[in-house]
Formats: sequence, structure tokens, C-alpha cells
Amino acid sequence: MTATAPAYLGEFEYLVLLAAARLGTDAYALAIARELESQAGRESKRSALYTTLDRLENKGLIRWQIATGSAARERLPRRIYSLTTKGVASVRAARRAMSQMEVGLDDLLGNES
Amino acid sequence: MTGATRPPRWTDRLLRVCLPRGVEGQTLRGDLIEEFRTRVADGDDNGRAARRWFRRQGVSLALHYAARRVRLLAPPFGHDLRLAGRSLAAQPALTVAIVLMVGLSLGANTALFSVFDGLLFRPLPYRDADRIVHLAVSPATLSTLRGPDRDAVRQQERASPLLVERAAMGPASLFDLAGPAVQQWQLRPAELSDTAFDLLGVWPQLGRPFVEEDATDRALSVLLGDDVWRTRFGGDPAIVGQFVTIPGTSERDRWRVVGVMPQGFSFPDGANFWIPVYRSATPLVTPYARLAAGVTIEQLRAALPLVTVTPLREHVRPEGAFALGALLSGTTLLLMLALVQVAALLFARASSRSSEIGVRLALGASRLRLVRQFGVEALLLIGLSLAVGTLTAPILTTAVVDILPQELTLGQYLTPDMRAYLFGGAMAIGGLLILTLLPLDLIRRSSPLGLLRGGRSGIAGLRAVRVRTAMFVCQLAVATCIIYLSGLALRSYAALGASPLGFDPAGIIAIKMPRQEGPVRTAPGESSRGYLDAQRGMVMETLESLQLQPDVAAVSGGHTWPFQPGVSESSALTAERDPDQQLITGRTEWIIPDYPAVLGVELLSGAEPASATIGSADHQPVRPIVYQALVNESLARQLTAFGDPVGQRLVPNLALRFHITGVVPDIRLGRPDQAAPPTAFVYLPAPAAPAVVLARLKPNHPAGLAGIQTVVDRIWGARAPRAFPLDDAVRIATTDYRARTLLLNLISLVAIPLTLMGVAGALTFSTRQRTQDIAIELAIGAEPQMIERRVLRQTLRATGLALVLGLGAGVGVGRIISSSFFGVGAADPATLLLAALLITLVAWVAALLPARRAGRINPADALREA
Repeated sequence: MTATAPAYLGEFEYLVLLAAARLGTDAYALAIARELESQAGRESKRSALYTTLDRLENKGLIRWQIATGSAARERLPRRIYSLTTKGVASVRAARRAMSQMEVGLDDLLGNES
Repeated sequence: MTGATRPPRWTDRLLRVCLPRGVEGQTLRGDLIEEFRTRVADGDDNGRAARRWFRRQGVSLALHYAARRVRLLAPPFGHDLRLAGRSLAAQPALTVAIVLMVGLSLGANTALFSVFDGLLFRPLPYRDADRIVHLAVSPATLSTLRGPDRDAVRQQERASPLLVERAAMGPASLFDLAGPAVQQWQLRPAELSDTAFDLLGVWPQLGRPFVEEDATDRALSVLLGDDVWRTRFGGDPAIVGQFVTIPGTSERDRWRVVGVMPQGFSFPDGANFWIPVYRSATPLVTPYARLAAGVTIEQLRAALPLVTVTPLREHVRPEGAFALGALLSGTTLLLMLALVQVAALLFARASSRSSEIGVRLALGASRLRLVRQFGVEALLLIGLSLAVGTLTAPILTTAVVDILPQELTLGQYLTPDMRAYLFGGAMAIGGLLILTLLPLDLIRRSSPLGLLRGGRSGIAGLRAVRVRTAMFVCQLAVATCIIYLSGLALRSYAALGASPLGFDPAGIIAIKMPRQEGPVRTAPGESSRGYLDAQRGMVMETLESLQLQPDVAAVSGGHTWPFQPGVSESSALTAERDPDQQLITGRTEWIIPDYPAVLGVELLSGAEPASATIGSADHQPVRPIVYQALVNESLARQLTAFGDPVGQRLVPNLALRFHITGVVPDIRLGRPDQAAPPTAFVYLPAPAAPAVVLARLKPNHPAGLAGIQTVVDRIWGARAPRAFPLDDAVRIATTDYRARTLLLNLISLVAIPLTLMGVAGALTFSTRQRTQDIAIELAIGAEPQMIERRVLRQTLRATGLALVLGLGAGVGVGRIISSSFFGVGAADPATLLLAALLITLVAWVAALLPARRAGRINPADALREA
């Protein structure tokens, strides 16, 4: 597997990457957690979320930049996450794999529009 | 920012400590704070749910990153720590048993060390406490001094350049001891002069100290103790400067709070309510002072020969404190017992994991690696036990202080401090590390093959049996020693109770006459005489009134009451007829007529002097002055060489003579455990009044105490002292014996179940290890009863060895602390026998169940499992 080859993703890793992609320039940990809660119905412990973000960073799937914090967080900085090329490729690969596995299972999965 | 929008402080502090440094940690903390504020804004419960959320998430995150830091800093240690944690968690019952056993033993040892250290060694929390001394003139000396002599003593002390920073402090009789101020509010009043604060280096936490003007103010200025301030006045800082009402006192008594003393300050004698010392009521010598720079106590004593000088440390130390050394040794033994139990359990665990260890060694793991793993496990156990010990130490200290007699602990600083915790920590580390060397030794010396065989054969098996047997014997020996020492303490206390005092204290009531507390308006230059006259009048009125009480059989008095603590009335006399003038060292008691009647003793010869012969010293025209006296048997025996003791004279000094009119039996007046020394009972001449009044109740009049107290209350009013039965004084005088007996027996009560558990556990493990051997015996025809009897026999053999070791150690320790016991030797046959029987019974009972289980092994099942 080359450095840019997509990495295999766990279910929570996949959701975190999707949440970061959806949030764009506002993708910091708190927003990612809210996005997961509101869109995926997943309330996650902060330690699990930060561990996943660190793991994704170690795998080279996301990167972060420092942004100034607001008064609501006592001016403490935020880390804004963004997907790397490898991260995007990994998300696409995971989606393809999901779609392939779902073929022929419409009755079981019940297609929702 | 309001309190509701501020995150919980301790969680935030925890995050600051545990999160990574730098930007990473700041972003994490910022995320949590931002979410917290959002939840506060969205919620309608004033942020309660948000704070709960923050605490939960914050602690989780803090632990996560703390654990990560440990893994990053010490990869091997972190791995071993996780492994150790899983290993302990796999046997939760055993882990909890070890942690609780060692932890509670550590806590108990730390608690007793706190008490022992606080009573004897811990520096007093006052400025330069080692240089502060207590000064007093004994009543016996005082009674021999006339007015000009007293003034000379006073002047000598006041002008001495060897003392600086003088202060007056002492207990005060302010409230009715049966009244609400004492009974409900638990007030313990005392006096402090305005100079006391500089001397002690302690100042109020609120308000101000006493100033000179407070001593003459009609509205009594008071300082409250921290406990009184918090429990009775709600800890309100606005109390300073306010007038307060004390229950049970007159509404005309106005008490103005000028300040609150700091938490923990309770000098003297556990006081928590202070008033100023009134100027005109100063004692003969200033009670407390600091030695001038470079001055020693010996120099001061030489300069003030009539003054008793005592270092503050010794003055506040209660009698019997040294006896606690016996108690500390008792709990140290208990800790050893617990540690031996733990070693046995740890060894059993190591032996049961011998196969696992054998496999790992065979696969190439180094012995050092395995030793390190077991070491980390032991360290984790030490840490958990130490945490339990540290948490329980304050609670156990309070329990120990509550158990000990109040006379020993009141006013002492006995809470655990850093020294006590360091002591507990050192014991924990030393003891557990040494004892966990046993399983480590097994790993170090055994071969993989031997371990794979389960340690049942070969050198590993033999060593395991020897070590197990040695620890079994150790457990029983330590328990035997503890039980023997507590038996000695019990017999000692019983012997003391049965020892004749020479008189019957039952039915005797004692009342200590108070000295004037409030301001006395007297003419200049006559203040002391005016005070003495008033005092004397009230004492004489008390004596006369009590004699009229229908419940009272006899009334008398003296300078002290029997067994009064802190009294040393030793004296040196010579017999006038003795040509060699040999010194007779003994005791002088100053009494008034009817003293033998009050004590209930009959004179052996002679008679009490007639009242008319007990004259006033001032009216004796010639010198030396002659006082009338009785002597006890011990003193009379030394005088018989010169003829009949009755009629002889004793010579205390050039100015005095004691004329003997009668002989009484030996009476113990100092301590119940000390024989009566040669004693002269000298009748106080007029106008001297006794400092203590004694009254004997008629038989079958137990309610007489209340009647006496009523008389005293009527005469003395708010200053009325508490009348108490002399039995109380006997009980207080045996405080150290009671303390020793109580605690040693408490330790024994803990030692017995510990021993039962340990013996049963060791035997159960041992029979389990030999299951197959026993199964084979049963299969080839052995009777189950034979197996049971063999287990019991082996137990009793080991118990026999343990008894020899344990009783030998007990006798040895008993010899070292023999001065702590009364009427019983270190090698007391009855106690030896009882301790041996008790330990044998404990071992036999503990062995019953394992023996029965061994006999009921099913050979077919056991051999099938092999």
C-alpha cells in the first residue's frame, strides 16, 4: 500500500471524517461532536473523539490549523481540521465498499429516500 | 462572569494538570469550556446539568491524557502497570482483602503514631516553644512563707533578668459545670493575659487580642475558640465587637467578643473560651515566661530556689503518655501480622501462577522481566493500601482519641501531620517490599520445568512448602505475642484495682476551692490581703455549712486531694532526737482537723491534736514554730529507733518543727500504683484555709453529692467549683493503665479474626495443593477421619512452635516495658497459659473446616482432574 493509498476506516472514523468534511472551515472538535449528534445521532465521549482525531492524524487522513478562540472559550485556540488527499480517498473508498456490500439488500436495509 | 458560567473549579484544575502542555492542551480545554457555556445557556437549571457534564467529561479526558503521558514516558512501566492492574482486577476479592487488611493496619499505625508523637515528641505549635517555661510555687512551700517572704519571692521572679515575655494563663471557673454553658455549649473557659499572645506567637484569626484595658473593663471581653465560633455563632465574621449571651449566666453579665482564636488553638487544657486575667488577681509568680537568650533551665532553677520550673512541653504532657509506647508496639505487631498474611496470600498467588511463569521463562522471558512485573504488582498494592491507610488515618485517630481517657488527650494536638504520614508510608514500603521478596525469590531460583510441574515437586515444591510453613508459624507467633501482651495489661489493671489504698475512697467528695477571678476593689497596697481575707472567709463558710449537712459524716481538707495529678509534695525531714540527723525523704501533707475521719482511717496510736493546740503561727512568741502532726506507719517505723514516735518532733527546716501526736496507717495519696512513702500530716495553723475541702458522706446517702453541690453553689455563685467523688480521682490516676489495657485488648480483638482468616486460608491452600496426594491415599484405603486428624495434628505441631516463638517474644517485649505493668511480671504463668490455650483454640477452630474438606475429597473426581 502506497502512502497515498486509501486507508481502511472504522465506522466511527468514517463518521468523524464525514462530519469534518461537512463542516468545512468550521470543523473543530466541538462542532464535529455536535454534527455527529445532530446528523448521526451519535453522542460520543470527548476522549473517544479526540483519540479518533489523533489516530486519523497519525494515519495521515486529516490535518489541523490553529484558529483564535472566542470569548466563550476564554480566548483559548481551536484546532480546525481538514481532510487530506488521502483522507478524501479513504472516505470515497469506504463509501464505494459500503455501496457494493449493500447491493441486493434493499429488502433488508429498506431504502429511505 | 457569574458562578453559573464558571466551570467547576477542581475539574478545571485537574484538566490544567493532566492535559498536554501547549496548544494541544489549550484547544482541548477550550472545547470543553465552550460546550459547557453553551449547555449553561441552553439549560434552565442554573447550569447544574452543564456542571455535571463538565465534571464527567473533564475527569474522563484528564484520566485519558494522564494515562497516555504515563505510557509515553515509561513504556515498559506503563505496560507492566496495565498488566498488574488486570491481574489484580482478575481476583477482586483477594485484591480487596489485601488492600483493606494492609490499608487499615497502616491507618491504625499512622493514627497511633499521631497520638504518640503528638503527646511526646511533636513540637508545640507556639513560637520558640522549647524556651517557654511554667513557674509555680507549691502549696507546701507557700504555706511556709509569711507575707514578707512571699513578697520577696514575687519580687525576685518579676525582676529576674533570666526571664523575658512573661504571661499569665490558666483555667477559669466561670460557669456552673452542670449548667448549659458547659453541658450544651461545651465551653471550657480559661484566662489569658494581654502578653500571652506575644509569648505563644499566636494571634486571633479575627478581631484583636486582649489589651491591657480589657483587664479592668466591666463588660467582660472574650475571645472565642474556632469551634465555638462556628458551631454556636455560625462562623459569622460580624460577631466581633458584638455582645453575646451565654446560656446559664445572668443577663447583667455582658460578654463582648473581641476576637476569634485560630482553629486548633486550645491552650491551656483544651480551652475554647478566654477572658482576660484581672490585674489584681495575679498569682505569686507569673505562670509562664520565656527564658532569656542563652539562659538554661538549670540556671533559672538555681536563681529561684523556691519556684518550681517546668519546661512547657513537660507541663502540658499528660501523665501516662510514655505508656503509649506499649500501645505503639502493639499496633506495630498487628501491622506485622497483616503483612505476614499478605505475604502468605501473595506467595499463594505466585505459587498458583507457577505454570504461567514457567511457560514465560521457557519462551525466553528474562527473570528480571518477571521480577519487574511482580514488583509493579506489589507497588500497585502498596499504593492502594497506602491510599486506604491515608484516608482512614484521620478517622482512626479520632476513634483512638475517643477511646483513650480524656485526661490523656484533652488539649493535646493529636491530628495526623506529615510526620505521621511519612511514618505510615515508610512502614508500608519497607514491610511490603520485604515480604514480596518471597514470591520474587521463587521466580529467581526455580527452573521452568519445576514451575511447569506446578511447584509440587523438585526444589521449587520443597521450598514452597518450607516458606508456607514458616509464614504459617509467623502468623500464629505474632498473634500469640499480641494476645499475651494484652493479657498482661488486663491482669495489671485488675491487680491495680484490687491493690489496697489504705483507705476507702468511696463516699468521699472533694471540692477544689476556687481562687478569685474577677476584679477586687481594695485599697492600694492591701490588695493581696483583701483577696486572701475574702477567699478565706468563703472557704470557712463552706466548711461550716457542709458540717451542718445531714448527709455528711465528716468534713476536713488540706492543700491537695488524694491522687491529685501533677502534685509532688516530697520533703526531706530529720528526727529531732536523731543525733546523726539522717535525712528522711518522704511526703508532707497539709491538713485540717478530722482528716483521718474523712478518709475513714483509725489512728494506730496517739490521737489527733485538740483544736486548741493548733494555734496560729503568728501567736507563737518563740522560734522555731511548732506545728502539730500525725505520721504514717512508714515514717513511724523510722522513728521507733528513738523511742515512741508519739511525742517526737520532726525537723523540716530551722524555722519549723512538727510535733507528732499520733500514728495512722500507710495511705496511698500520690499514685495508686506506688507504695505510700514516709508521710507527715501537718495541721495547718490559723489563719490558713485549706485549698481543698473533703467531705465523707454517711453510708447509704448517695444523693449527698447533690446536697453538697447545692451548698457550694450557694456560697460561691458563678464561681462555684464542681464537687466530685474521690473515685473519679482514682480513675484519673489510673488513666495510663486503662489506656494501655483498652487499646491492647482492642488490638487483640482485631488480631484474633485476622489469625483465624490467615490460618484457615493457609490450610485451605495447602490441602488444595495436595489434593491429588490425598486422593491417592483415600483411593488406596485411608479413612477420611485419618486425613482430618493428620491435618489437625500438623496444625497443632506448627502451633506449638508458634507458641514457643510468640510467647518468648511476648516475654521479651514485656521485660522491656515492664514498668508499664503493675503487680504482674513479664513472665506471668497464668497469662502464658491462657494465651497458649487461646491461640491453640483459634488454630484448631481455623483448621476444622479445611481438615473436613480434605477428608471429603472425592478420589475419582480429584484424580480425573489431574
